[in-house]
Amino acid sequence: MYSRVMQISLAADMSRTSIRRSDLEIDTIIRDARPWLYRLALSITSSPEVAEDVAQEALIRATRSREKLRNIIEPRAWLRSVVVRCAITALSQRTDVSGFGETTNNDPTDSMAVRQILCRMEPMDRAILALAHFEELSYAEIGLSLDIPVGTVASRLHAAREAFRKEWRK
Amino acid sequence: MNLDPLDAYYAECRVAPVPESLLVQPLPLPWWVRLLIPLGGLGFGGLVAILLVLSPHSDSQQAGAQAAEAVSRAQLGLVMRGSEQIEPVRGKSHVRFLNGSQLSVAAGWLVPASEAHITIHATSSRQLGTSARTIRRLQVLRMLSRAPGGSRWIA
Repeated sequence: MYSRVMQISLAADMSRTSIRRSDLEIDTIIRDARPWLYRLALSITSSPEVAEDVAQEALIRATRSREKLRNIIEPRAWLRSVVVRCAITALSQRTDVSGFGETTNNDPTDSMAVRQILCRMEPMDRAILALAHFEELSYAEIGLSLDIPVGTVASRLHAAREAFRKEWRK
Repeated sequence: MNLDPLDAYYAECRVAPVPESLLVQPLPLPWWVRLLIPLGGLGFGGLVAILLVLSPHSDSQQAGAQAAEAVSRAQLGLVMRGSEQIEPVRGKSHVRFLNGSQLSVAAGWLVPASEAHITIHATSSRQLGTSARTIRRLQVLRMLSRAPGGSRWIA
C-alpha cells in the first residue's frame, strides 16, 4: 500500500506543471543526459551498437518533446522512462539472442558470460535488472519508469535474479 | 551465490565510453523526409537521392533569424546518426564523410529565411553506407552556428 502511494506521489511529481524551463535549460538537460542515456541503454541492451541507436532515438524523442520537458518536474525520470522503453522495443525487435558487442574489461570472461545470460532474458526483465542494479532505483521508481505495478516489479526482479543465478551456476 | 558478476557488469557500463555521434544535437524531420529515408536504404541501383530539410529549432522568429544567419555564413552541419558522419564543407560543392570518403552534392542549397533545403545525390548507395540500417540512420541533423572561419561540431 505504501509503495502504491509512493508511486502515485512520484507520478504526481513528474507531471506537476508549476515550473517552466527556458530553451537553454532544456538544451542543457538534453545535452548533459547523453552519456547517462547511452550507458543506461548499454546496461539494458548489452550492445554498444544497439545502445547507440536507443540513446539516439531517446534524444530525438526528447527533442521533439521540448514542450513537455519545459514543465516536467523530474526530467531525468522522464528521460529514463523514454530510453528504457526504447531499449525494450529495440530488444523486442531483434531476432538473434546471441551475446552482443565486445567487452572493455581486462578479464572479459565474466563480462561476456553475463552479457550472454542477459541476452537470453526477456527485454522487460533486463530493463528491470538494469533499473535496480545500474540505476539503483526503488521498486516504486522502477514501476513508474516501466508503468507497471510495484508488485509486478518485485516479482519480476526476484525471478530475473533467480534466473541469472541459475544460469550463472551452469 | 551472489550477484557480483551482475554488479560488475553494470559497473562496467557506468564507465563505458560514449560514442561521439551522440554529441550531435538531433532535430526533428518532416514526415515526408522520414518516409524517404528508409526508401533510400532499399537500394535503387546505387543511386540514392535524399532530400534533407533543416529546420530551425523552434518556430520563433528569433530561431528563424539565427538559422538564417548561420546559413548566410555557409556553416551548415550535417551528421548521419551512427558511425558515418558528414562534415560540413564550405563552398556548397560537396560534403565529406569523416571517414574520408567524398560525397558529391549535385543540387545547390536553397536557403530561404527560415529554413534550408539541401538535396544530396550520392553517386552510389555505398557512399552512404551499404546497409539499409545506415540509411535509416540519416535522421539527425544539426545546423551549426559559429563565427566565420570557425565551423565545427557542436558538443
